[in-house]
Amino acid sequence: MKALQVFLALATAAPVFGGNLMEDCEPGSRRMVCIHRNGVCVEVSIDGQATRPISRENRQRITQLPDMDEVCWEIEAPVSSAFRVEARGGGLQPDFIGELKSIGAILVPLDEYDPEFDGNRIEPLRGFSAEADGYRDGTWQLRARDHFRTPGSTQLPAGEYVIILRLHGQDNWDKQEVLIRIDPNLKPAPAKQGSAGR
Amino acid sequence: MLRAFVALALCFVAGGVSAEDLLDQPKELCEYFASLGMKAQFQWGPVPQGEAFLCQYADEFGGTTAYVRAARVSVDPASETVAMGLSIQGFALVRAEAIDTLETYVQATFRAQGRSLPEGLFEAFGDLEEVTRTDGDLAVTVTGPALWEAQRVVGLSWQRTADSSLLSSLGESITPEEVDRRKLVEIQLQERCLASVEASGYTDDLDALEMSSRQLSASRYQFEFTGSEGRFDCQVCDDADPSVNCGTMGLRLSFTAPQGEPLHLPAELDRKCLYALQKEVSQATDGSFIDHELVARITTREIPNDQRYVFEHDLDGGHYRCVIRKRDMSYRLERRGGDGEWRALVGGIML
Repeated sequence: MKALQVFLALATAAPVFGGNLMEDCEPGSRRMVCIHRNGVCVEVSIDGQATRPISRENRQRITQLPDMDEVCWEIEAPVSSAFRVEARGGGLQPDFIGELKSIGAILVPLDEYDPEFDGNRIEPLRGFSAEADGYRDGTWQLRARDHFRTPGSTQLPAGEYVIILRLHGQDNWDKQEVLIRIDPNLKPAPAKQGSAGR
Repeated sequence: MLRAFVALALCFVAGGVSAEDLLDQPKELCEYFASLGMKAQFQWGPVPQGEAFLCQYADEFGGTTAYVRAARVSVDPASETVAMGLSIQGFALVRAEAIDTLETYVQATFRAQGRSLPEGLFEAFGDLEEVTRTDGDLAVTVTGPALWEAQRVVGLSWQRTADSSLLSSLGESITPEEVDRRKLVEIQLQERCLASVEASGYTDDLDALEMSSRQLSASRYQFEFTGSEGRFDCQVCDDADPSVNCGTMGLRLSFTAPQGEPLHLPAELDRKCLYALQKEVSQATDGSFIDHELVARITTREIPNDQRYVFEHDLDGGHYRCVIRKRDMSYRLERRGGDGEWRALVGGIML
């Protein structure tokens, strides 16, 4: 509860932001459009919902937390706790990453933020990764690893998280840091197997 | 499969008796592994009850360790056997790379003892399950993919009959007084396990648990407590005894419900934090895992917190804290700077 109060206090403190609130989310210039690797050269969907640029309000709120400068995307509706991700080159330069090779997923819980212990960085949750349902161009599902299970380590309670998706292609890579809400009562989107060769 | 067996058989016939010779002087082998800079989990010496002699060495594990070498040499007067096992645990390796690394490690071991590695030995690795091939008195066992899947380990072991001169050279393995002392240690370690089982909250009736124990090596035990709710497994070492190199501090406890998967339970987290701190700041160069002199100078107190286990440590005027997130047991060990800010020293999973 203490953490929540601090979070709300921070969120409602309404500091005056200049025009650079969204600066970290802007693409690079000219032929360097993808080089900031802030997700403008990929298309991503989570449980069937396409990610969208984060709203100014959410961006303002989220950047009060440590190390959230690169959260530039969000999902409108809650997703399941075993959500599926689908990704490909897209956006401003669809051929930038080339054929998708892997999706790395790092999940950062926001609701337990406590400035006493998370002053510099909120630790990602250990023990979760994205695993391909079939071929690499199909869906990838967030799964808890079986190694070193501890009480509660494989469950994701309802709440707000940032999922950091690193999308590695044959030619290059891009990254989307996406603000999501998880509802464990929801079912994940159906798996898509993809194909061995496009 | 046939090819692997043939290759393994040929190596004994054509390659001579390299491995057999290698087992002639087990104590010298232990000294060799010590010279590699590997940490001694068990120095050469007798183990009570079974009264085998053994040594066990392994590389130190860190957050970015790609693989760990391990070695174990043993002589068992009861079965009159002498054995050596070499293994690679390949955290960041695929199995083929781990086998290549093992081959290099085994080759170096043979070369250091003035022996040559039998030709074709590593052709026995493949998709076979664990396989043991014997040639006369010598048995060689090669681990299979199942062990790799479970523990990311590939290994080779050699075993043969120990000759009478080797057995007689061991002398009396353990005195009756030492047996009594170690029995007392076993009881104390069992009590530590039971205290952690009780604190876990996974059972209401400690007295109803049936216990069995297994000695893993000198001063290291595995206790099993079984009740209607399930089974507790507790691995514990006498980490307060400077004469024992336990490798870590704090016991490991897991609980397995009937038809369930093992669940690691928080246990002796204060000791584990203490271990992490002394490991981080110790200047000792004697190769031991625990700097007992340093540990004695550290004071620890727990700070209650709903979402985290928090332990504050003081050492020679320096302030440290160990913060473990309950949700996933990830931890961060921090030092307080002169400006009052906590700065991370190391992190990982606290099990």
